[in-house]
Amino acid sequence: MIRESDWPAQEPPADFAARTTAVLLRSAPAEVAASSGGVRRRKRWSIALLAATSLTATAWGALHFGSGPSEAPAPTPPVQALPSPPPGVSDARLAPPRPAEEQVQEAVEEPPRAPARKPSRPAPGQPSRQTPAAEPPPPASTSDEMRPLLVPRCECAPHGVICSCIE
Amino acid sequence: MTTALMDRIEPHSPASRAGSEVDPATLARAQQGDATAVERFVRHYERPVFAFLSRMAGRGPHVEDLAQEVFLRAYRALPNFERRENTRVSTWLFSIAWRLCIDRSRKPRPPLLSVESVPLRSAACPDQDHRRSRIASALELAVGELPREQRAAFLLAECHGLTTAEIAQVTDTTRATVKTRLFRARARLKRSLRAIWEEER
Repeated sequence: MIRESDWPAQEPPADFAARTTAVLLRSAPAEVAASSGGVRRRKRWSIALLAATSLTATAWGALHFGSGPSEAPAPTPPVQALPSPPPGVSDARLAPPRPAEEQVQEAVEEPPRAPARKPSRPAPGQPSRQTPAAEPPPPASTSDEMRPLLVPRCECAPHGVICSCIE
Repeated sequence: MTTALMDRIEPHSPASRAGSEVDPATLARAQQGDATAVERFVRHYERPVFAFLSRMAGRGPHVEDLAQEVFLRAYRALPNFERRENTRVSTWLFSIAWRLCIDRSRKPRPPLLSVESVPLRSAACPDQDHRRSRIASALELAVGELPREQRAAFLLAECHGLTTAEIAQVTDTTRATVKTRLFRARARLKRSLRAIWEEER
């Protein structure tokens, strides 16, 4: 190392430390807080908290009140047109046997079902129009299904003439 | 030449020696903004900072401004300073001073004062004074002619006792580059100071 006396450097004034300290302490508190990330960190945290709150609220709202496509119950699979059974083959083989009365009633009331059609795609040149997809029938509310059917107790006379309690 | 000068080591400041740093308690209190600790911190490092700046940027009143700027920047970043095993506060301050010198070199420089204008402190006899003054002038001139990076490497190694790794850290470069700069600086100084070296011998 080179000796100081061989090549003297500039000496600091005697009051340099005191003056510099005064300057530092006068100018620095806000800057120190800012540079140490105090204010910025607080800002960042509040923004993050706000974002997280809004995200949570949105998700909760969508889950509870939303009726968007994502919240709808899973659509029923498209009805696939079953190949018409060859003559002579009855449905009895495919489906479990049902009471005869029910079969008769179904045959009377149910209109003939149209074969399921694939949604037609627009022609390449035409602008694609979003036709509302075949909406599934509104699902019966699950709460109604699960609720036990309450039948009012019949308090009519056992051999009454007309009992209208159960219809 | 420099080895001849190096034979007579006389450290001028506590921080000029490797390992002499401000004590951790003072540093911790200065980080919290304690006025006494901050003043002690400044007082501990003012001389090496002044020495480095005056040798890099030339003597003059601007050195005081630069030194104050070094301490201001250091104080702003002090809360984030982490003392690790291989990190010294003095090295960190030198790196701030080095960056300031780079910034300043982009602006027009004030004329350098001659080393003769500064009185030598340890003057015992006039002959010795004269000899030292000549050495100092020659050394200052020769070092002043070095490129900035070589000058910084040389000053940090020879005047402040930093290791190659520390100089690399200060100047933000590799150790190999520092070694090259030091080698070139010494070779150039040897050529420049040959006359005085012959006279000394």
